[in-house]
Amino acid sequence: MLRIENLTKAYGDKKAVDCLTLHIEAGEMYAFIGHNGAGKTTTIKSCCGLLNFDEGEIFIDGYSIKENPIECKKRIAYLPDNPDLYEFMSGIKYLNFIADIYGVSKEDREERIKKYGDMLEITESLAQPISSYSHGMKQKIAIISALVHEPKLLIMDEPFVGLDPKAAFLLKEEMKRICENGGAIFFSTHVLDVAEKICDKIAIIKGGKLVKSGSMSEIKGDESLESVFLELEDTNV
Amino acid sequence: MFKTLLKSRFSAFWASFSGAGANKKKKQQSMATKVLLILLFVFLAGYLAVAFGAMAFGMDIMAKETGDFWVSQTLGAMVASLFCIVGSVFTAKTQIFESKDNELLLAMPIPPRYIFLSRITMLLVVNYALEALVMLPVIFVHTIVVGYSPLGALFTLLVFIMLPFFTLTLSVLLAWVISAVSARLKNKTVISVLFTVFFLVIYFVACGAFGGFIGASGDEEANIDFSGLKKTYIFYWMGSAMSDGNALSFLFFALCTIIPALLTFYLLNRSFVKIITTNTGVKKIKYVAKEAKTSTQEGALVKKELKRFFSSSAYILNAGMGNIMTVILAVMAALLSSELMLMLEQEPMLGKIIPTVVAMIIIFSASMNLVSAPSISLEDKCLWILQSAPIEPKKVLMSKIYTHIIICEPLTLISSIIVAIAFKFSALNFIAIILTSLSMVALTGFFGLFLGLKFPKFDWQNETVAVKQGFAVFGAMFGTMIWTMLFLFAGILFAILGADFWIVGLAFTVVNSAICIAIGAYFSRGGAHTFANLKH
Repeated sequence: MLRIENLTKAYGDKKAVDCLTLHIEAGEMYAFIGHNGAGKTTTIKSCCGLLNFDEGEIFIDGYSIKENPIECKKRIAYLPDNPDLYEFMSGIKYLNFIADIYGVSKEDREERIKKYGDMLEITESLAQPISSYSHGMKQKIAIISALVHEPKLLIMDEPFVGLDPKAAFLLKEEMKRICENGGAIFFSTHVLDVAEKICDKIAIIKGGKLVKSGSMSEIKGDESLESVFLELEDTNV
Repeated sequence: MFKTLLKSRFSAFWASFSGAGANKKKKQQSMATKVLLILLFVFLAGYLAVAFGAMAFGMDIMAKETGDFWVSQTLGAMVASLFCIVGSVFTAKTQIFESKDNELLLAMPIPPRYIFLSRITMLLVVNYALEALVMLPVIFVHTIVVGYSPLGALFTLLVFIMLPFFTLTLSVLLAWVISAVSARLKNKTVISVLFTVFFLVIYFVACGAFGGFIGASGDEEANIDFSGLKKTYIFYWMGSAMSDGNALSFLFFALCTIIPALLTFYLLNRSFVKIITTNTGVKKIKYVAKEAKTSTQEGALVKKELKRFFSSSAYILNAGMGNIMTVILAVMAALLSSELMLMLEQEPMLGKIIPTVVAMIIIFSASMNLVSAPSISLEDKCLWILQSAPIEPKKVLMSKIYTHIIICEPLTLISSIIVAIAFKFSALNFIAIILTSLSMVALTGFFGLFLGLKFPKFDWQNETVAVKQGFAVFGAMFGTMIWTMLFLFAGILFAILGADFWIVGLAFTVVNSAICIAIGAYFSRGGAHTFANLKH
């Protein structure tokens, strides 16, 4: 579903991502972990066509993000680390706008907005302007907008930040359901417990380089993910 | 601490004009922008100096006959006050009552009075700058034409120093009222637009009254009665103190300025924390599911742009005011048309020039609508939504053009028809004025968006900054202004050479359309690439 081949992106002299290769298959939930400034967001933004990269290739469902960005974007949903949404719109207007952009039918959008709105307990507030929302409410709207067109690949940057425990739990359940139905999820997180509990595979990035990737059991063995991560952080790349 | 706060406020204020504080590439770019901005400010200041200087000159010359030397000073003080209040009321609203960093600063170990004082000081400087634009030419002309007594000169200096305290007091109080009223309304845009239109009406009425005085002053037979002006009290006291060195007038003025200012600032300072932390939010609306309406991508994008425009008073007032001006000017032109038509019958050459001048007025005010120019900057932090969505960048860009056209073309069309009928244009001139003005609106849209794409401003804290300032907005405004002047010169030249207006009108329509097509083609290729690679 997502193939990142030798991705390299530099900001001036500093390589934010250095020759990173990662493959995510349909049905997989892949966590991407690393310290602040390790290159997670750069990788994620490159996958979504938000950032030009210097070398390498990214394929989504067989389409190159460089050559065919529109086809790639039709298949993905991106959830940024900070849910900056159109504050002049109400929640429902924003969701309808996104549904229009992705060409979601009237029936489908009505059903999905109700389903996810009720699930995240935000339906009652959908008529309110986004400018009046809290960070968590904006995050919920961003999540619904990411799910409203049923993407094949969900790319999320720190999706649990700002969510209340119940919403975080429900999002995790929904993520599992998406993968069970053949979708794929690639997300960054600092919450190692979450990654450990729900992910099939994990990638650890440090200084822009992939230091370890594979199935959860391969990576952590009998140790906790936290101790593996901290050990890797202490070693030089 | 106060110094640091003040420094940060001025840095932010300067950055809002120059775009400073961005990355290295932007810094290099901002050097050119700075030079251009300074040139534009000099041009604007020069223009205002000439306008207000001319007003004072007319008054002072007349005063030599009548002995009413205070009139020019009083009128100058009135215009300066209006200028300061209109120019700073919304800045006061955003800087004091709705500033985005209020909470951040309150969370720091900074005494709230320092936060309040730093904002008031910044506003005071803005008031001084606005006052100087009006009062310096008035004082200069009065010095040359009439001259000041030593006491008058001292009072002039003191009035110049104290006037911004008077205007700032009124600005802050008005901003307080606007902020309090709009906080309780669901549609905050309406109240801001209404207040501004109210100020504009006062401004036009005042300018009309001053124009009347100046016009009458040129008429030697006219017997002008200025006793009404004496009832403006504080303004009369200012004029009297400055021109006549009247100590009692100065005392009255000083008391009426300093006491309310001190009282207002003291009360605001005391209740500053309460004002900015009180949540006066509107009642929550409970969502009731309705049947969803679907749109195409293009339709959704245009709806989004229209929603953005009509939800922001700053956007409407700064980028769409040309619409109201166009209609006002068209109606005024129509009202004056009968008098002008009489003149035309006596002077055939004027008949040739008038269509150009009338069209220029419509085009000039219509090109003050800069809806598309700031639209890229306004995407700001939300740029990721469009960039990560499966939309061709050209569609995004064209949606901004369509929005500009939807907002600006209808009233321009109506205004063009009004003047064409009022001035009894020939069929060809009728078609030409419509096509020229519509093509000019389209050109403003394309050119504004082109500049917006090339020079986006993503470092704003308040959207007024994105709408009002930055190179794209200034460039589009002055670019179209120069183009309109070129149209006027070409029209007059052709009229002198004996050609009809429609020839120049249609020629400009063709050129305008060609430029629009060229920019549209750029949006399909290079522009689309630029948009896709924009970074917040």
